[in-house]
Amino acid sequence: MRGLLLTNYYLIHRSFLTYTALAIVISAVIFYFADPSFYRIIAMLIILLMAMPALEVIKLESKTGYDKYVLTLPISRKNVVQSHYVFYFLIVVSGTILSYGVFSMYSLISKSAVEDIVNIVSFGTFIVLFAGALAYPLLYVFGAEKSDGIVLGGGMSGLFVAIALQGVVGYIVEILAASSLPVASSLHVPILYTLFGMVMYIASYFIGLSIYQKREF
Amino acid sequence: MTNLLEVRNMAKSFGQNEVLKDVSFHVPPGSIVGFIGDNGAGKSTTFKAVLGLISRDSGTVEIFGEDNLNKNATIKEDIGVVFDAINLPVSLTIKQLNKVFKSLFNSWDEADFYRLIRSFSLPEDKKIHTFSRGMSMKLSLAVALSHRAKLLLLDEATGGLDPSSREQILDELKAFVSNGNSGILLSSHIISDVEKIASHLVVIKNGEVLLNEEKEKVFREYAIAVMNEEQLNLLPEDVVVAKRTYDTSSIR
Repeated sequence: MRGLLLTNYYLIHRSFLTYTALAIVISAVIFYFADPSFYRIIAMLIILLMAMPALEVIKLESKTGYDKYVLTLPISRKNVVQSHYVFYFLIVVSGTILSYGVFSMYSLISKSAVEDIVNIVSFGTFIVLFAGALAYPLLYVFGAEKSDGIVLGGGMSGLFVAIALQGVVGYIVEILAASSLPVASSLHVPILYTLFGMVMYIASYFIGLSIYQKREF
Repeated sequence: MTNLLEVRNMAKSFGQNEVLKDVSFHVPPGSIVGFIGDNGAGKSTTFKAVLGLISRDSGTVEIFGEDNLNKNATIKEDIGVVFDAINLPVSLTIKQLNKVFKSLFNSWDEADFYRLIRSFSLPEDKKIHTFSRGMSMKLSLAVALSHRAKLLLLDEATGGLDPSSREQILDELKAFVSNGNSGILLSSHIISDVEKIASHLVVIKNGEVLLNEEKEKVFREYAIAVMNEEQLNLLPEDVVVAKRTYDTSSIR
């Protein structure tokens, strides 16, 4: 799988670096000019902008026919699906780390802490994980020609689901607060959002795998 | 000795369209099998079905005696494939491609790869999307020849090459089978290429194999005859392998 991940990296590394730089610049602009209520957008923006090139991998592979050729190499279809999901997950993790880094840097420079950084970043991580979970099976079914719409739809759906989940998360947080779990109550929300995101992403992997195993090229 | 590739009674339809009907042929070790047919005859579909890129409706495909490439992906270490268009990731350079294939193939021979790259005069630091079609095909062939494959599957691999490049490629392919253990299945429109290096000929038309013989036997025992419809009807049916109709009404 190392070779597949390396290919994915080579395919998008320039646009990945460009989008990362763009994310940092936009974050700086929002921090400087916008109201603190907009800071929530920064976390989501950084992770989403970094993850977008990762979803382009399938489109780029399909454009050249590499998605067909790669199956003639000594790897299985399962390896291909794993490489897509692992690569996207690694990018999301990188985005999450960068998001924390940007907020920490802002706190250092402005000498004022941003409240609820962990909640904000976990919200953004959930949205992007959900977007990937939705996008990959759809890309395998409909092909790379529809990728722009699928990626956009995935991001918007992630946002709506994250907002819709607030009620469920709030209810579970109440139960957890009453329990004697050795976890700080301030971490309940981010842990739950991250957990929901991971569960959906893993479920998507199995769905995507069963679709890809039957796909014809 | 086991055939490198054995295809038996393979059939494939897309909806109502029967693309392959009862296709059978094999690639013995030490042979170059020329797979000849018009556009739409079923050559590329045959390749895809052999490689498991599409499912087959019936029939069996055994490569090195194994019949399921997806279950045992390591078999593909010994298979080199070139399709009719460049299918490599075009935003990579040759150097990056070498790193990728070094990770993917246990048997990747970096020295052999660069020998072929230099022999084909391909630039190592330019992105593949800047290459011409001929350069791209040469690169694809260099990749296929650089991991000690035992079986090459080449689908229109010599198309788009200038005559001297084609000569160079054909020499490499002849050298590939010279050890007597390897084999090539080569589909081509360019009959002269097939004639030059093939040891066996398989002719396919409308999804059916019309001829499957050793080349020398074809040249010895088959002939091309030009005749009118009346004369054709006098011949026994099993003597005619293939025919083409010409409209001679405009010829004076």
